[in-house]
Parts: sequence; structure tokens; C-alpha cells
Amino acid sequence: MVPKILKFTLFFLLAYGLSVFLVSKVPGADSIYTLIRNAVGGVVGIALPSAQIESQVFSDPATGKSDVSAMYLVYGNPVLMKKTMEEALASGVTQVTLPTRSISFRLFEMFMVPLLFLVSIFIATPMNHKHRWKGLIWTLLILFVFLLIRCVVISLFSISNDRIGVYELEDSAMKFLQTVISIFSLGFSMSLAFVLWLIFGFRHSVFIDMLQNIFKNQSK
Amino acid sequence: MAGSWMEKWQTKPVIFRFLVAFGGLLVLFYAFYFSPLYEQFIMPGLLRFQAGISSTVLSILGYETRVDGDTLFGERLVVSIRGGCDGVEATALFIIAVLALPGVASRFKWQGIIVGGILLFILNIFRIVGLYLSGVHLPSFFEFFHLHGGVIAFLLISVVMWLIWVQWVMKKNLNQ
Repeated sequence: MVPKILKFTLFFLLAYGLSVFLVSKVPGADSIYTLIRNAVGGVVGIALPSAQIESQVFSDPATGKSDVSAMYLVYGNPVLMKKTMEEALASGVTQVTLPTRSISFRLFEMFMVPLLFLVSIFIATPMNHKHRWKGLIWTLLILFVFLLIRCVVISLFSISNDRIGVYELEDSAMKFLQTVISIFSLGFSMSLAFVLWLIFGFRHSVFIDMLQNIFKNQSK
Repeated sequence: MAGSWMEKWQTKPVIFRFLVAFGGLLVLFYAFYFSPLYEQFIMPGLLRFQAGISSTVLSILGYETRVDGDTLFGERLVVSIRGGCDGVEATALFIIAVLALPGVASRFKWQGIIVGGILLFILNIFRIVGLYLSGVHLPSFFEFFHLHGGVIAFLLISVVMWLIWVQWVMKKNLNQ
């Protein structure tokens, strides 16, 4: 079994290193960020319909250089935004600054790291391919949904904190959200990824033979 | 009543019992990890302790640092050890996976927890020291090592250590 554990470790390191390299360095592979950015903007928009939500590529305020591995979620009160537009039109102003705020998400850390961890651990686990791909698809879906929920919670907190006239939560609700946000850390995402692997991956792997052996021996 | 519940539980597949126990213990761990008791009374002391040991290791390596709370002050770098960088979550995953495994004698579990816990603690000190050194000598790689070395590698080590422990238990059982 030792060679299997060693092979698992090496395969994991190889798969993780390669996938990080692909996402970071290979041209075109970073289009996955567009998908995540649109998903975050779309889901937060649906979850918080009273606010105007838009997703944008992050750009470094110091250099002005855009960074696809991060994003801004721009939000505002649609009533105030409409009013500002109407006032600008009435006064003949051609350029207007809309009353919006934003929050930034580091997509690589928030999404890619736990998702690539899952992909790598499934690739490295010795198991039959049917279970591997089925399990991987399910776990990626579940983890992705969790990460989107995390974005919704952070956005709700941020919108409420800015007091823009929508989703102005009471102190107790804000305190609750703050606790939820601190629990939904990267460490928690990784723990969830590990649990999902146990349920959908480890359970069908050859490692399970070790557990069965232990149990068989106990019941002798 | 409790007896019949236990009997029913014992008839469930091993993996089912393991996963349910793992999930339950994980929920308990996070309830404790984010409780005021841990955050206010245990975490600050643990981080201070880790910073102190890391500073000692760094001074052995020839890097003079001063410790204030959870922060290491060096000549060229200041590193703060935060909750989440304490290695507690990865260590907890290992301990929970050991505790949740059914059908294993408790002496094997305690041996695994003690040896594994100590090893992970030592590895976390090396992680902190390594991060400090990368901050001094390879500052552009600091974030890379922090994320991939600190989070991913540490979790992988926990998983591998658990698999090794399971194998060790299997061998012990076969020898009995």
C-alpha cells in the first residue's frame, strides 16, 4: 500500500502544479475566470435583486493593468442610479458618475485553489475512471455552488455596510453575517473539498480496502 | 432504546459510520474553532507560542527576530501569524479522521493523534520559518508559498499522514 500512497502524493503534486501552471500561464486557459466572473455577477444579481449588480475585471489602481484572476462586483441602488441619470439628462450633462460602490474578489484564491485541489486529488486517487469522473463532476458542482453562496453572503454584507438604501440590515443580522463570513474562509472551503473527496472519491478508491481489512480483522 | 440504536448503528457499513462521525466531529470542531473561547483565549496564546518557537529556529539559522504577540519582527521583514495560518484546521482534519474511524482500538488512535499532532505542529513551524525566509530572500514568491505551500501542501500532508496511519493500524491488526 505504501507505493500507492506515494504514487497518490506524487500524482497529486504533479496534477496540482500542472493545473496551476495551465490556469496561470497558458494563453486562453484563463478564460475560466470569465466564466467564474459571469457566474458570480449573475448569481449575486439573482440573489440580491433590489440592488443593481455588475461584474468587472479587476484593474490595479496603481498601474491600471487589468488582472483577470480578480474581479470587482459593482453595486448600487437602482433608484438612486436612475435619479442621477435623469438629473444629468435634465441638466444636459454628457458625463455622469453613478452612485455605485464595489467590492473585489480574488478569484484565484477564492475559487481556483479549492477547485484545483479537488481536481488534483481526484486525479491522484487510485479508483476506477467511471467513479472518478462522476465524483469529480458532482464535487466540483457542489463546491462551486458553495463558493457562489460565499460571494452572495460577502456581497450582502458589503452592500448593507455601505448603507445605499437597499439591504440595510440590522446590527444583529450584520453580526451574524460577519460570523458566517469568517467561518466561510479558505480553510473551510478546503475542509469542505476534503469532505467531498471522502464522500465521492475516497469511498470508491482502493484505499478503502485498508479500512475493510481493519474492520474484517476486528470482527474475526 | 440506546442499545437498539447502537445495534442499528453497528450494522451500518464502515464507510457510512466513518463519514457520519467525520462530519459530526468536523461540525463540532468548527463550532469550537470560531467560538469566543478559542478566538479570545486559546488562539492568541497558540499564535504567540508558534511565533516564539519560529523566532528561536530563525535565530539558530542566523536570522535575528523579535516577537511581539503573533508577529515576528526582523531586520528586513515583519511577518504576522494569523488565525488560519496556525495549521490548526489541517491538524484537526487529521485528528478527526483518526477519531472517526470505526473498529480501531483507542490506543492506536491516541498514538496516531499524538505522533501526528506533534509532526504537524513541527511542520507548521517549518512552514512559518520557510515563509519568513522566502519573504526575506524571495519576496515575489512569498504569496505563492503562502497559498500553495501553506494551505494545499499542509492539507495534503494531513491526508497522506492519515493514510499512513490507517496502513499502520492495518499492519498492527494483522500482526495480532
